[in-house]
Amino acid sequence: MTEPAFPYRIFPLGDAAFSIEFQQASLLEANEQVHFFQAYFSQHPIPFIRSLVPAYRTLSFHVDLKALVLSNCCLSDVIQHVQQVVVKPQSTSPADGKIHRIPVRYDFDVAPDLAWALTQTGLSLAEFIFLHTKPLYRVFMLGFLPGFGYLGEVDSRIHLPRKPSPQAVKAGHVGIAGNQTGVYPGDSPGGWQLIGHTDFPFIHHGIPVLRAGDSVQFYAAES
Amino acid sequence: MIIPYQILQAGLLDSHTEKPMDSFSCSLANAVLGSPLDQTCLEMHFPAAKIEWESDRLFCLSGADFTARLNDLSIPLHRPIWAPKGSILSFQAPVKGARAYLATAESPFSIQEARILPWSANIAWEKSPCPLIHVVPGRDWERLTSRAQQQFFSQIHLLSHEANRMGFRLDHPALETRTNEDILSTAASFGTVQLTHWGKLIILMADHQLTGGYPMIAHVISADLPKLAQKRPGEPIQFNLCDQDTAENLWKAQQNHLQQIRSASLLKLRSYAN
Repeated sequence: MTEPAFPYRIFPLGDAAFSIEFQQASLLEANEQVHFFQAYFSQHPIPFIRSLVPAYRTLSFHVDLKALVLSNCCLSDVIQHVQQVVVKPQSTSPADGKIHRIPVRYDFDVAPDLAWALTQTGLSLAEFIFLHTKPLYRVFMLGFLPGFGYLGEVDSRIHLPRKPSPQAVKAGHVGIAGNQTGVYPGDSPGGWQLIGHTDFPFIHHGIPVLRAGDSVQFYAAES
Repeated sequence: MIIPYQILQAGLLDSHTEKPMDSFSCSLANAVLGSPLDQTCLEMHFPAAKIEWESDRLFCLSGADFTARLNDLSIPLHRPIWAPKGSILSFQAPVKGARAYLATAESPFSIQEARILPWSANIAWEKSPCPLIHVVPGRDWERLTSRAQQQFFSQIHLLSHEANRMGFRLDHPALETRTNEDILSTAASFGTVQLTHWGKLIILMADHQLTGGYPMIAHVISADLPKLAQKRPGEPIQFNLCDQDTAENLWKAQQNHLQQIRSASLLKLRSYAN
């Protein structure tokens, strides 16, 4: 019996970076492969790699192009090196992260897109809060801003499209984009629909509180 | 690094950054002084800083031309300049480009007065600029309709006023997509060309967010990022397709060119000191 092919593809991210995308049907399984290989390549560094960026389904490699070309190597050499390692899915132990309980104010006066979200989904405020606070979300990845955790997966009844173009967002706003949710830890441009607000500190003594593999439970704060 | 000058009057967004927008100009200023190419420079926008030298130093300016003066002496780009302690560097008007770089080095000799030393970088690479910005295709290139793919290369995009170290928004007729389906956030890089849902382009620059969720339709090649970084709001940008081999060769040519300038400058500096 032959093993099923490892479902992944590699795509370039410009001339000095590339990504591996794991294509397992389950987002959770794909994300486990991302974190397994991130740990592997951190412990067994590949020449010319400047940094690794994990995301939901992708692990991206930023290359030091200067060192690469001055050594007469090219990007495809580095990609081949990675492919020799990523040959089969790795079994991973279930994440043993922390659970963070985060209070959220789902109020129209602090959540600029909440009213629109209710119209869009056809839900009452109580139903919307119930669906957003029900899941124990996994922190699939960190990024975008220091302390920002990408959480999923959001119940399909409250999926909201990303805004057509990014706008200014204040710290503490809770957003939804597609099946992802998360909290802006600082002021930033952002394209997510803002459906709540929290004062929860996502940076503690300069260190991000959330880690990839942790879990997050939102609950409605008394207003 | 000890900074050998005092900023008398702050400029707009001056920074001693390890992530220059225009890494070529930053390296070029270092190369003319025979310094390591990746040494940090002061990145300046106009209005630029007014600077007083606190010790005798060599310096070189590169990138944008802001009409520099050292006391009463007009200072050209890409030349090594001797600045005695107490002399004042100022900038009069923005003539060309968006970002100027100031590199400094200790001098193996000493002169009484401010002086332009008798060598310069051979900047053939800058003098014959191809106006096109080369890109390689991105993961989501196929989201554009075939008409929009042609339009992407044929139309002129203008750099909008929303252009800073994080990203450049472009002004142009909207590009049509086959789908507006949301995508999962993934890593982006310096030079990633994102497409907003309104069909408008944003190019991520040096201080870009690490990950993003807008479609990535192309990436500006590393060798052309310096050229892009010198564009000012209102200036045109036209894209041209290239492949990975070409991108790597262009980058390698730039790096070799910088190394040669540095080697030549080291020789000149030694013979001048004797």
